Amino acid sequence: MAEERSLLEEFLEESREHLARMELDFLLLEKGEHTPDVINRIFRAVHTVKGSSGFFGLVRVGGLSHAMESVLDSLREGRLQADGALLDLLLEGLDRLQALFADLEHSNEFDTWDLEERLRDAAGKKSQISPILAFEPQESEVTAETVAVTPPGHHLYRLNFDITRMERERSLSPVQLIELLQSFGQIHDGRLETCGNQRLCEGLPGGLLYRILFSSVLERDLVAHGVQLPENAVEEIGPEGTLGSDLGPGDSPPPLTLASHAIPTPPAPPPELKESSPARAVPPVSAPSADAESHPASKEGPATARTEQDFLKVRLDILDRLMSLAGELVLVRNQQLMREQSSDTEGRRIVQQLDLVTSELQETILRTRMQPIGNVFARFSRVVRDLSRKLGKVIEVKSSGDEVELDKNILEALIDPLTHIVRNSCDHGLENPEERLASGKPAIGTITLRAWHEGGHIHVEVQDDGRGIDRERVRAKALEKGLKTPEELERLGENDILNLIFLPGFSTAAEVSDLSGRGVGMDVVKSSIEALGGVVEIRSTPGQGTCQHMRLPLTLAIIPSMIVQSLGQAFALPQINLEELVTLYDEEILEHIESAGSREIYRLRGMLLPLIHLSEVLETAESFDEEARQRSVERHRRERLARWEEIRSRRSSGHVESWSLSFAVLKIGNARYGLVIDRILGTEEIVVKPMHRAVKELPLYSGATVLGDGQIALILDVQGISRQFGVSLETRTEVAVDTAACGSRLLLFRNGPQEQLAMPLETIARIEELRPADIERVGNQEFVALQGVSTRILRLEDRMEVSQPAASDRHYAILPRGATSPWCLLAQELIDIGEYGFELDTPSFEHAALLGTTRLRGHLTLLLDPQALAPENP
Amino acid sequence: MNEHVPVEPNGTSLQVATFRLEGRLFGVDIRKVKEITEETRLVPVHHAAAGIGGMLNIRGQIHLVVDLRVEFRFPPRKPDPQSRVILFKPSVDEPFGVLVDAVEDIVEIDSSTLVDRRQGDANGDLSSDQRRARRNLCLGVCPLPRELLLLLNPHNLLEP
Repeated sequence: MAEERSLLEEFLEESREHLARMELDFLLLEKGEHTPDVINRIFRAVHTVKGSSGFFGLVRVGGLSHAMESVLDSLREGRLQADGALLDLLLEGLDRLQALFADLEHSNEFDTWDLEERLRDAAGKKSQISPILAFEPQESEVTAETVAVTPPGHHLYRLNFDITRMERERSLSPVQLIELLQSFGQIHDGRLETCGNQRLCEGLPGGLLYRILFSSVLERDLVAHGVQLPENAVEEIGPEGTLGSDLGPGDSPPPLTLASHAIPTPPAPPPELKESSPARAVPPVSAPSADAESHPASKEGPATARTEQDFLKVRLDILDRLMSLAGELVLVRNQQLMREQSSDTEGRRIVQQLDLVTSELQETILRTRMQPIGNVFARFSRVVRDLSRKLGKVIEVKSSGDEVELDKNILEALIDPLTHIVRNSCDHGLENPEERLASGKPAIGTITLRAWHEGGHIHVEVQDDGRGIDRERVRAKALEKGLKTPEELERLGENDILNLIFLPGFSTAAEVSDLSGRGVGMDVVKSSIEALGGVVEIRSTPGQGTCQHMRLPLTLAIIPSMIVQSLGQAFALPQINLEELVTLYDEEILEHIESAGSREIYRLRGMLLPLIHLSEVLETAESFDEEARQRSVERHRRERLARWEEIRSRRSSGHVESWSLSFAVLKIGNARYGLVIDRILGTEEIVVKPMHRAVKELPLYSGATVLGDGQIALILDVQGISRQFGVSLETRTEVAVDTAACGSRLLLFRNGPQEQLAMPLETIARIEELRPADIERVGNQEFVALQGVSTRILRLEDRMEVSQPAASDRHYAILPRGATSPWCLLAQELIDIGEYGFELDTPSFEHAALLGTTRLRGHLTLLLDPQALAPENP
Repeated sequence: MNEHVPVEPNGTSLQVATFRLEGRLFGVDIRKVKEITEETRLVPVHHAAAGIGGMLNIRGQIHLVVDLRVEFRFPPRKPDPQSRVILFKPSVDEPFGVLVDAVEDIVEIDSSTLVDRRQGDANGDLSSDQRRARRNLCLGVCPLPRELLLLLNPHNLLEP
């Protein structure tokens, strides 16, 4: 039956909430907070689950929660201590309950007997409950809380129904009954009671008593009439929890015993009740004057009451639809905004209002999809607890910013990477208590989870105060796994070394434990964060701990973008990828863009930025290879020169004409490149629409959108474009300035016409002049006799992507110091030898012999390492 | 995708929205058509397959448009004032349409007169390339009093 199904779903949802809450409370217990509050809360949760499970015939859920309840009862009465072993058992019970809920339909087939037995053993009483009847009949109890949450002006009743008879004589099903009751009041608790050990499914000749705790504004006789019960089957419970009538239903089953493990707050006489919750002033419920504000208990009353009153479950697809409608409205608003640039002040005012309302509407709808990150943080208490017990460590989890809200989709996608990071911290980051004490730290390790808003992003941090990341081990590992060569490692800065752990196939754990390092590496963390449009960074201080920092967008549905033009068409560049915009004018274009082999480079504050022309990538269907890139660079260089000539000649004839070139500096992780565009049109908040399935595979686009003027703009995929052009983006910004020869004496020379080259003087033995006729060939190798020694000749253009030297009648041979076999490097032109202070930049392309690039005497200069050029290192 | 073939049992009539491409008459089942628009300024999708003419914004919804001239290997031509885009219903595919030279009347045909596409290649003046393209897209050929009508299957238009 459909209603029954939806009731079941509601029960499921509610029970999940209870279980989640219980988990947190168990962890509180373990921390030593066994206040009656906490225990009572757990008790209530288990109890509610147990109660409702009976209603749906969920025998195993009932049995298990009953066994747990017994343990909790002993705990509360002080007969048991909440030690680790007991909590392990309770948590195991909780996990099993969650497993049962995951497959509710077959839950009755699960075997939970062993666990139930252990729980009962722990509770200190082997129970004689029949295996079929999972829970014993017991009194419906009224707790202080129940009374407290009864809305002011309501009467509280206990209703006793005989379900069997009700069904038989009035053909009223329990579901219909509940609906009926809900139509004029509120159900607080329900309990199904049977007499004797009967199977529920066999039908119950003796009747099945269903007791309901119910509140309504109606008087007792009206309630009785409303549900067609004899008046004596409706018991009114007074303001202090007293029974106004202790009459059972006329044909009630055999006397019900008050089970020993029932909640020990049975319908209590007034003085006792007040004692049991001294902190709470419980106002008389039936008094209509009671002020809702003065209900301290209602805030943390049973979750059921709160869920019903403050929350509404909405189907996700409706939210999605609402979201896209809001998106459409934004588009209409944008179109209107563009039209209304006229002088009509009244019209403008209205449009401004529309603008405000639309923005607010959009924000509000966005917020419906938002969930506090605390929901995710909370689960880590449990993860860490289990891990630390396994690892023999003592770890505490702290969190801040639990209330920070994130889009549901992002939040869900964040769980796995966060779990991975937290596991890593527990497993590798934090030390044993002994180790920690030895290094002067508190024995308890701490993992801090933080979330905050900043600059339109959500920032999430996982920090531990463990041993930090051993950079030497990372280095060794990268070498061992063949991820980097020694030379490459040599050039990496401290931070870059840390970033190596994000490489696929990297794992520093000496041995793979079953906790972390099961094949999912930090590279997965990185890629899943990046898939969300986020960035992950790692910082670590040896001995003090590690901090992983993630920056995430608020939502994926609406993104601020820059609209650019290329080939007369509008494109959107997500702001998240956009670092800055650069426009060069006139001579700057010629002077500041350098062509180095197959790369076009712009020097941006010490960083060498490879340039990609959007129009060219759009117009070229196939991806670029080395040759295509070279052709492209050459073509652009020629075009620039020709253009400049043209402009100069026109200017000389009196025309005022300016020349500019714009590019967007785009980032992918730590890498950057410049995307040359025709024009910048502005910025807009765009609603991302997925690409049609027939063009979804295209790497250049991540979606499409309709701009404010109704134009379609394709959303560019920043990574896809760089892949299409094939430019290497290993732009390590702070590469090893320390290891390079900073401020040393350099030889500046040229080989091909384009690049200026340099070598540290201390690496050079001497320089000799030679003529082409001096060069002899042996096979495909070239030699020259220098001071009587046959010396092998190396040409740079054979080893690197550099320009070809023009034919010349004179060469220079640069002989390196300490060469194992005699060899020399050919140079076409010597420029200077001198003391140069400089900073090395990351080369836009990698070569073992390239120490880096820098700017000397106004030119881009490649600094070479002769050692790596030697013939034995081809 | 032939399970979608909308051909009715013999003897039923079928309403066909007809249009011209390079002078020839084509048609699609009217029940598949959502609307016909004069808006033909397509936004190109670079790197997409040749037949993809571009994208079109119809009241905030982005449609992919197939250029049928390209699809049928007719010489390319820029849209003119006669050109139209026929948009299909969501049941056919994600939002998409076809760019045609001009639309004509709605024609009612008797589905029994529909000749199976493999036999009905009466137009000998098509190149083999054109014939191949047609085979995948055409449901059949229907002889009208004055000319032949090629009935297209919109379901297959976006198949690779």
